[in-house]
Amino acid sequence: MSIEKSDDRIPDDSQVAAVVDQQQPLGGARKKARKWTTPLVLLAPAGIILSFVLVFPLIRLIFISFQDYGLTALFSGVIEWAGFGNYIAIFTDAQFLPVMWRTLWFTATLVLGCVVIGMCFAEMMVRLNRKMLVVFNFILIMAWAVPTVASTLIWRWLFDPVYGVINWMITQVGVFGDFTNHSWLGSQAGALFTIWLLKVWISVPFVALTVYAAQSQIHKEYYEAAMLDGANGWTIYRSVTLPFLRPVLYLVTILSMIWHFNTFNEIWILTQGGPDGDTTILSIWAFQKAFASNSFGQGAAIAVVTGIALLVLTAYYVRSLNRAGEQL
Amino acid sequence: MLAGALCLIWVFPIYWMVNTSFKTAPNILRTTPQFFPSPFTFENYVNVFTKPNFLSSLINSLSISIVVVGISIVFAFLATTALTKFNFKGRHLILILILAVQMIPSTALLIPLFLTFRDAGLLNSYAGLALAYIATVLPFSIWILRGFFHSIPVEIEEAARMDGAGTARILRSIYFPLLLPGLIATSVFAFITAWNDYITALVFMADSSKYTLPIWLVSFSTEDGVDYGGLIAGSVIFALPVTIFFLIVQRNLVQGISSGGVKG
Amino acid sequence: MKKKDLTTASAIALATVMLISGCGGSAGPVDGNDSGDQELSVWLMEGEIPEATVTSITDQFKEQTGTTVKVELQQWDGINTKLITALATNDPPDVMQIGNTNVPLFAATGGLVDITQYKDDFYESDSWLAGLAGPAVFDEKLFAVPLAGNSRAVMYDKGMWADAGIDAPPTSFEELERALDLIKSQNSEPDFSPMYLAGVNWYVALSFLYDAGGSLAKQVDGKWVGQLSTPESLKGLGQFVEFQNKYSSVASRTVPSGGPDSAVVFASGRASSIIDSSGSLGTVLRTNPELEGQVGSFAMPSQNNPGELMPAFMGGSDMGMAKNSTNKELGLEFLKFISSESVQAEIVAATGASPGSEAQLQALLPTIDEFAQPFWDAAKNSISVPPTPGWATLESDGSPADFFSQLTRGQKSIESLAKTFDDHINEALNASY
Repeated sequence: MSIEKSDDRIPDDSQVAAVVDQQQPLGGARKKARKWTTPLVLLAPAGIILSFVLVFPLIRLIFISFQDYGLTALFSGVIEWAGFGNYIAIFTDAQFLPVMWRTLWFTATLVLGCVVIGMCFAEMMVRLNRKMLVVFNFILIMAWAVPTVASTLIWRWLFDPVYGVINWMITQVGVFGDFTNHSWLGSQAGALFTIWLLKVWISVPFVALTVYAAQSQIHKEYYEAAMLDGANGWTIYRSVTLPFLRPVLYLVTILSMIWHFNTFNEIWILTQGGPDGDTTILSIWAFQKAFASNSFGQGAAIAVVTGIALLVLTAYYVRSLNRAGEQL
Repeated sequence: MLAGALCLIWVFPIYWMVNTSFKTAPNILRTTPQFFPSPFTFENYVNVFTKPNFLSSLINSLSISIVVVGISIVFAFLATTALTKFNFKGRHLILILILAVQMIPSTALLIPLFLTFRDAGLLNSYAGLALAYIATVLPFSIWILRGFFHSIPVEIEEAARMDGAGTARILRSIYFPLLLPGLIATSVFAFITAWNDYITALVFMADSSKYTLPIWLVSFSTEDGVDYGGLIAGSVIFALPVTIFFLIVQRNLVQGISSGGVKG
Repeated sequence: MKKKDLTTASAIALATVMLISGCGGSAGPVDGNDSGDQELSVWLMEGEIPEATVTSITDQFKEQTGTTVKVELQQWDGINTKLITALATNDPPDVMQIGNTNVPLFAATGGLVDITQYKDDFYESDSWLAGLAGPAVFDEKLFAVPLAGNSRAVMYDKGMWADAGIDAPPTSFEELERALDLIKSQNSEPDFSPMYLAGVNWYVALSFLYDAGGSLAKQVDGKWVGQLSTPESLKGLGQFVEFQNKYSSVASRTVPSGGPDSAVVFASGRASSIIDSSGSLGTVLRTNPELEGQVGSFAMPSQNNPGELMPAFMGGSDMGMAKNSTNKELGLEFLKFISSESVQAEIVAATGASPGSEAQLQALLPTIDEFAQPFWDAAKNSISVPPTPGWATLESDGSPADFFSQLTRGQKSIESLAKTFDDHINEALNASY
């Protein structure tokens, strides 16, 4: 399968020159210079924006994490250094470990849920006829296009203890008992489940549409060949579809990981991290420290710790990708 | 099929939104829910259209989102070309860095970002807001386009080259069509990111005439509680045109690809 | 594509970036200079003072001073984040409305201008209502002036009460309980509340707490100490839970903050009474126009001090001036203007809120309608939250709502919940800012 030799796709120097300019053979010195200039020019627009809007504030964030930066500092511009004070405050906080742990498995279950359901949907979409596909696409894009602020408020409405239709339906079905006035957000398990479902509802459309886009690119001959070999549905999926989807799946996984790790709006609107701090994950904690407690220094320290933790995790992931022969 | 049952989870909230948006206020607040609005009312939609700033925030959101899509697609395409078609030192580092900057909780980045924009005099300007969104969208776009670049078999390019096709033609007739699904996915993502953001717009824009739709929507949630009828009707109006637009774009493009014969 | 094409494309792209940043760069300062001329930028909160009144006030100000007032209406959602960032810019709004409980946050941290020396210039500043002026004073310095206050009182459905045979509002807590019992016996639906009190509605719960002599926190040797575990507080909390559980639906215990508006629950006929500010009458009549003329009101009678009224939480707003305002003289003029006798009277007439000073409140009391009077009566005995920046932390993280909601659910004992909340109060109120 073509994926395995993806190394070939990165052209070597001569190929690069060929792609850029076929007609003009180049001397060694000029070739070396242009090896840098063209990609540099291509990268510049994105690079400039990213440095200004992401990298520069990021450096500032690291500075703030070593400062006693609260509202007083923000308004007056007079800032005092705090050394490792903010980090010590974070690490000695009784919330630190539970929040870390909760964030990890919250992210893991979300990524798993979204990717698996997304793949199911993509596989289903391939089989749908055009009309059904439009209907299904409509629903997926709609779920995605409702602004998260609104869909979260709507979720609260669906799961409302008194007026929520979910409680009413469960009670009518009767299998799970009487859910009248059941407060989903009142217990940790209920609140986490509600948030999890909302996140899945919002995020699966992206996964499904992306995977479907990739799946629609698979050449029919591959399937025909596999079918001739007498392979059945699951075997075909495993031996043809999956290898082809692998780069997209890796990508979707890693991006979902980042997004879910940083979940904020949904939790903040539904529970504000409650009940009793039971749904507080790192991003909520950082916001609470920064904006509720007005300690931007501690908020920044949490962000830096989070960033490092995620970097370590993804670096490991990227390395194992490389080892498995996948091009980064 | 399991997926069919799963679909219900996506269908039901949408159905419930539409259903609720046509109910009268007392009927929304019923402990025994109504599965069809009776009496049927347009009251909530009237409230939406007559609420101050609806039109200005709609125009703001639309124009900012379109600008963000246009610029980020072009910039991401250029950057991805550099990162996939050229072999230079530091390529991997750049890719990892691009991934890494996304990992910082955006809520924590809000204050440094605000300070940076304040010092650059970019607050309360559409351009500043658009710039912030483009930066949010770019890393993702680059990564996703990269995936699509990689899924193009080299053999196709080689075959075309053997047939004597020039670089420009290869880009136009092979890369572009094959990258289209990726470009669509990216543009949908870019659009929705700009369309969806709440907190950045809230903090950056001082004048209410410069607000975007999410901020306007949140105004249905007041100190006294949430006007669910208005909120939901607003959300439907909000989501419907975008959905239909992307549906049309997507269908035409998918058709274009399959009729182009690239799929073989 | 030739190299040249790529380079050109990138150059165009680069130019776009420059253009974008360039545009923004010049736009900011220009906006800022505008306010140097006779223009004053004022932030008011949405849904408070009606548009017509705002226009009338700004027109008058223009007539007096020649200054154009540019008003921006702000939403309550996310307002602190918005104010924090706005106050940190070089081009902030000159004057802004700030919720009374949040004023200390900005006063103590240097976001607002110290106006202590002008205090005597403000109308009736000696008799400002404690619930509004208290939070505006930090370290014995004054940082804001009262705009208007909203006390809470009971609103009831006259028709429903008459059906149960009650024709006059109760004058004692016992009479109130008798009335509610009677109504309860006639409406057996499980989601009906004789008096709807959401557990998360901590403003109302505070009335019971303070009525029994309890309090949230007090200052001991410069440090704030949570007071919920004192015997008086525990008594008050117990009385609140008992009352809530008895007269409000089971659902109201678990309803989340931001759940259905109690005024809507009331207007939809699911409750015969609620405790709310007078402003919510508008919501009631919008939801159910048939209730026009059918809504009565009375101040909550005290449970522990017969003959008195229960202390009521005072919501409301102050007006402060941004430290970075480039227009401080005009800003000060506007503060004096909006707290003046005539403008206050105009705001009161338009909103039904109580004026900022007790002197004016007493003077206007006979002139206002029967419905609004009990709310003004309640304003005289008002509760204000601890005047320290840390209180905003508690409101932001939602812990008061969480605490009272958990109390009404009764899954944990009052003592243990009070203890936990005390710890949280101690931490939040004594944090540096």
